[in-house]
Amino acid sequence: MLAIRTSKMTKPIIWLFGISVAAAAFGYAFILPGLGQTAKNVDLNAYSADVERGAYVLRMGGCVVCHTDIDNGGVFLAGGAGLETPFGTFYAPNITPDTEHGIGAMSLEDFYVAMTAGVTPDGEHYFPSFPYTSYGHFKTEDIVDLKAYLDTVEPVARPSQPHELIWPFSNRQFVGVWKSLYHTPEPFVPNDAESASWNRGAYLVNGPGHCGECHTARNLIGGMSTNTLEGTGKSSFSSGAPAIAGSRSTIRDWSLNDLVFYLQLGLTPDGDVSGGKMIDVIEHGTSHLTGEDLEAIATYLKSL
Amino acid sequence: MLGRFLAAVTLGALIAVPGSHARANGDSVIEYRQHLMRAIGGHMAAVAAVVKGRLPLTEHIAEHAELIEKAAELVPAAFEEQVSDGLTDAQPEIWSKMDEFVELNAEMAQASAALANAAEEGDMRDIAMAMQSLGKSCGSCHQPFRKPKEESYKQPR
Ligand code: HEC
Ligand code: HEC
Ligand code: HEC
Repeated sequence: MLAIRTSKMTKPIIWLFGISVAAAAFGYAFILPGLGQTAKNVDLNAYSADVERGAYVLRMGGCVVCHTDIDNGGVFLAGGAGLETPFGTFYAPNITPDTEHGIGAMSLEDFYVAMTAGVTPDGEHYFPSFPYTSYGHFKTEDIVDLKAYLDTVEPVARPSQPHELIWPFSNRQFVGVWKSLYHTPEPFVPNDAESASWNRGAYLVNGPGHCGECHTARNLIGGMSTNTLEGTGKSSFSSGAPAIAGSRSTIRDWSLNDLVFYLQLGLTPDGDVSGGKMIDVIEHGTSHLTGEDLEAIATYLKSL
Repeated sequence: MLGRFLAAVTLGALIAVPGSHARANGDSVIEYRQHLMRAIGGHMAAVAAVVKGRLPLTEHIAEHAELIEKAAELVPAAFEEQVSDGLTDAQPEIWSKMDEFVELNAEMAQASAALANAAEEGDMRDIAMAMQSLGKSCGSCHQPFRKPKEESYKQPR
């Protein structure tokens, strides 16, 4: 996700960069449509859907944070507030099962391809502000459950707000190039040398929880650094997020219990409170997870 | 001997300051208000420690909550003078929107009173919910009026 607060990037850089990207985009115009469209062949019918688990998967994925306009009391999943980036403002659309304005017309297969490959039912690219870069690691059964749950949500006939993007970033074909650089939708592979809890944590953090989308620095075109979870520093993309891994980690002195407590209530062990977007991530995401899952997240983070 | 003499002299100088009507030194203003916030945070951390550790001290939670409510009375004066340069995370908007700042402080006081009530009743679920609301009330003031973590004066540079 290319997230969150007002850009502090200077205009000249955007323009300079924009022009070179535009040139490249024209150059590649003929091969673009095919780029970055990898969706694996999986048998979605091999699983029987569990609606209740799907409701839980929604919280694992933090979907509410973007797809509900929380600050303005918006209707559940009927479309979110703007995500401001140097490329313009993205609006997470209505994902209630309304057939006209929501995703009611999406088949399970469409949904699976959207979530993992970032490709629309019409074969276009979604913008990576929809964090499929992380969701690409989703387990198939979780996606099946999630879709079954989303089908039961109250449909809302609220039109999604169109994004307000700066050209050429408004061009979906350009996303194909971006994806070929930054998107590898590989299913989560457990590490047998680690405990079950560590593996569960690794899955939750890097897959559904998409923690790295905020906690990892990005380059000028929004590609994530390989220093995963090591913080953004002062960021042109957002108001930034601190390091929760590596040498700058702010949570190294926290106990497992401290981390669990933080992800439940947003209180730090030194008497501070969570700030910025993390408030919503906790309230509408992690605070709904089981103690076991939060411990798994903490176990994994502590090992980094 | 000399040390003690010097200490007496400096202490005398310190004590003389309030009477001198000198404009408070900006660093001291920052230092005081940050310590006031840390004192509030200390009570918050104490409450969290009781809950996290399942300590049999539920009645202490009510005391700490009341102390936060009491400390809230000190906040408006601590932020009265505009000092937004230096080792501080205070945003200059505090002083263009002082009414809002004071209102958010009052909301924190109310939320701490609610936590005190919940703690007196003793139901752990209600206590946790009240802690969450109190934490949210801190966040509602930090969000507009305090610099985000990655821009904090506390970040190593
Ligand atoms: C960081 C914000 C963010 C999060 C978190 C997020 N989304 Fe989205 N989502 C978006 C944006 C922005 C778009 C629109 C992308 C575009 O237009 O290319 C989108 C698009 C979608 C679409 C396509 C809708 C359509 O009409 O084509 C689906 C389906 C979807 N999201 C489901 C989910 C689910 C399920 C989750 C949780 C697992 C989730 N999203 C989490 C931001 C987010
Ligand atoms: C939408 C962006 C976003 C996402 C997604 C996100 N975080 Fe955060 N996180 C933040 C921000 C911003 C902060 C800094 C909060 C503050 O100012 O106190 C933060 C703070 C934290 C902290 C506390 C660090 C400290 O020193 O106070 C932890 C721990 C944390 N996040 C863990 C996670 C985990 C685990 C996930 C995934 C489940 C996650 N975050 C997902 C934005 C995000
Ligand atoms: C009315 C506004 C307001 C409310 C309410 C508020 N704070 Fe603060 N807080 C601030 C501001 C402004 C700063 C930055 C002060 C500075 O750096 O000069 C701050 C800083 C802090 C700090 C860091 C101090 C330091 O620099 O070491 C902590 C810890 C803290 N607050 C905890 C809390 C807790 C816990 C609550 C709720 C129980 C709370 N605050 C409620 C405005 C508020």
